[in-house]
Amino acid sequence: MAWFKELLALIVFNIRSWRLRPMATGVAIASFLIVVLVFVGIFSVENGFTATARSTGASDVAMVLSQGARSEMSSSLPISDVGVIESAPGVTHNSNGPLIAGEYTDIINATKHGSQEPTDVTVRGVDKSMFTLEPQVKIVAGRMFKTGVNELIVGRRAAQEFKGFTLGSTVHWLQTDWKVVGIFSSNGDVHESELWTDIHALQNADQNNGNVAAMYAKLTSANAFPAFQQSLEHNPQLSVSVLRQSDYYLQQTNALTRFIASIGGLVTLLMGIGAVVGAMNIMYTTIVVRTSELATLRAIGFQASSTFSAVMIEGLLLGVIGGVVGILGAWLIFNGHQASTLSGYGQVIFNFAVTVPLMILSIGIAVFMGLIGGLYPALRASRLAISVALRET
Amino acid sequence: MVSSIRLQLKIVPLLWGNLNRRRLRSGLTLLSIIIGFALFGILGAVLQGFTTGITNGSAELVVFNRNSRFHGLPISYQDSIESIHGVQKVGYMQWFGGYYQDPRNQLAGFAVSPNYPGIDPTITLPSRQIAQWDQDKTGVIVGASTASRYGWKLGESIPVLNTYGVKSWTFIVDGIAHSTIPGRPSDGFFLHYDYLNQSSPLSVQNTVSAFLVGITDADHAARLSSEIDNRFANSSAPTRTNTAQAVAQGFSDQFANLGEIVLIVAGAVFLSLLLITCNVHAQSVRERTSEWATLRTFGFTNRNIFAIVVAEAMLITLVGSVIGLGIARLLVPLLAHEVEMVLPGFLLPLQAIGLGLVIAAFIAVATSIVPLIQVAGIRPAVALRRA
Repeated sequence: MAWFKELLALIVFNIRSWRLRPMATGVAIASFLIVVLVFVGIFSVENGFTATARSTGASDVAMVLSQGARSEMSSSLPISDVGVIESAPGVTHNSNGPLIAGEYTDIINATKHGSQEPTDVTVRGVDKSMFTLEPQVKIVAGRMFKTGVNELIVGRRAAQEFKGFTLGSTVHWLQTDWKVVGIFSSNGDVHESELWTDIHALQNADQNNGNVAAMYAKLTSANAFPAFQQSLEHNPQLSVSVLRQSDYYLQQTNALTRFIASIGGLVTLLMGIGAVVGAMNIMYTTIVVRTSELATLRAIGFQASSTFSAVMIEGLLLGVIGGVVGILGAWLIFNGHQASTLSGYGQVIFNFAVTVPLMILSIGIAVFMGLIGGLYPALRASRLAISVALRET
Repeated sequence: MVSSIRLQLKIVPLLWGNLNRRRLRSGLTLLSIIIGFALFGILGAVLQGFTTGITNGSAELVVFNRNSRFHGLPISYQDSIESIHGVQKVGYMQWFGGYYQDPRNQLAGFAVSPNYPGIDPTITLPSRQIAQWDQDKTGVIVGASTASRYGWKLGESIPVLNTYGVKSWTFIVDGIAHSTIPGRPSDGFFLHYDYLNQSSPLSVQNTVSAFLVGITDADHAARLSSEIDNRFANSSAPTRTNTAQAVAQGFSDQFANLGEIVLIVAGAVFLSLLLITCNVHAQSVRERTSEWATLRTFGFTNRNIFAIVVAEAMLITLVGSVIGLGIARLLVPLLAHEVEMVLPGFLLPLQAIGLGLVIAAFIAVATSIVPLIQVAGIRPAVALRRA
């Protein structure tokens, strides 16, 4: 009990002394703060992007592409394949027959707000049955497009990010006018960055001979996938690659996710080491300055262990203060910030996400940095040779 | 004059003595500077990756379909573009989506016109290899990076699978091209357009993805671009013409937001670096108040002492920045493998290293300002009495 009293007295003493060294204390806090800010910032990008990619596609929907095709843009299936796919094992049936949908994809030039140069935006021409396979796609304004007409429905985020896609506007593209008749939401997934239209309207505008880019099949369950895949990939009549729709979107975004995580991880690691070194330097310097004070405390009976703990707790406090302010700052700056980047073939729009696990992790990092930073100065303070320290001054 | 030089020489052991006295502190400061500049180097490489290829200011125009770069243009536009006054030569290319052995080994395939290797300013290869490729219907020119990745040699025949149309192809490696852009890997796979075209599906036969237009005078780029676009404005395939530089810039802008984040991080790194060194330096100068006062009584002027303070900061920041940038130079190639899908031009350019050293010198001066004010305020008699 006495030891704790002693410790408490020392902590209060140390914290009071921050006022005497506002610059040094401020710098120590600021360097922890910057690390946490950058860490949370970078990983809120990674979090937001991965969340968008992960929420796209279902594991019980199979996607059929040309053999070896990496995306819809390099895939083309003859219409004659449809019958074979329909009768493959594991396909769900409803009152209208097998639940499959064809898709034809294209890329349109669109311009972001505040930019002059065009960017690539995905236009998905879909069968009406696609909306049964992607039930999260919901019209939030306007109405659904009509079959066989040049009408577009626009993803919620695409409508915000690109010029000229507001409800009711007309886009001139492929020598035809396309009317924006609806805005849709899709649970925040990749489709919200896209434009959707009727498959036949898009094929006609593109003078396509009726080939589709991809076929989708709703399976009876996620476990039905291997049998479905086997039967199509080993069918000598076809030359196709079959994959889960959910895996496809992870693959498409994998390169970018890996990029952010590897650069972000390295940058945070190096910055973290830098901040620990900096804090150690500052705390060590302040301990050196206070050598005679600390020696005096020891001489009047304060124990080495409580001196050690007090300095460690001081480091911890500096870390936690920097960490909390850093997280708060990062949350204010980054959370919800909308960004758009090229991934696969088209633009993917996503929101930065400062999540609770990310905040907990960053507090952990701040505590760790504070403790490591305090360790050497704490040892130094507790191992003072009292008589020497007092004589020196 | 002579005495001033002698005085400056005497500073050197003094500097060393000062840094050596608090070895731990000097070491920690050095370490944080090393880390700061290692980060600077890595972020510089990221930024380089985002902007690679943009700096090339050659007299080239690129003509795409106005709808998007994935829509074709009729090959017949070639003659029409060539007839425009000020146009030197016109080449064309068509994307070719093939892979080698496994779909994961995608090739950057382009089916190109015979004159293409002479027009594309980003690749270079010996003229006899071009001549060999010219004669060889199934010949390809392969980028050096791709060739070394798969171990391809000149004269070797390469089986390639395609995702649609004719499924399986065989090409002979007739040329190995190197990139003319420093640090940019050479990844093209150039086959003959005619060879692809004769087996293309009817719907895409005689269409190309883009024309590459060599012009006589770079100053006329804007006028020629609009002339080309006006010519095809009312056709079924309208065009969008830009300089090669603008096309590269536009492509890089598609990642725009990520580039901004990199700059913010680099800024944060430097802010914290500046704060830490500034604080430690100020502290160490303040501790030595009585020593500065002693030097003053020996006849050192304030300017001499300023020189010592700045030189100390210079020494530690420059040594730290050289080591840090050196580490970045070693780390970047190791990291390149992780990020090559997104950033093929991930490389630390020499200009960034130069800029780093300039910034190091700037930091040394900036961190000396507070200590200089402290030193200027020293009155020897008072300071010595206090000690």
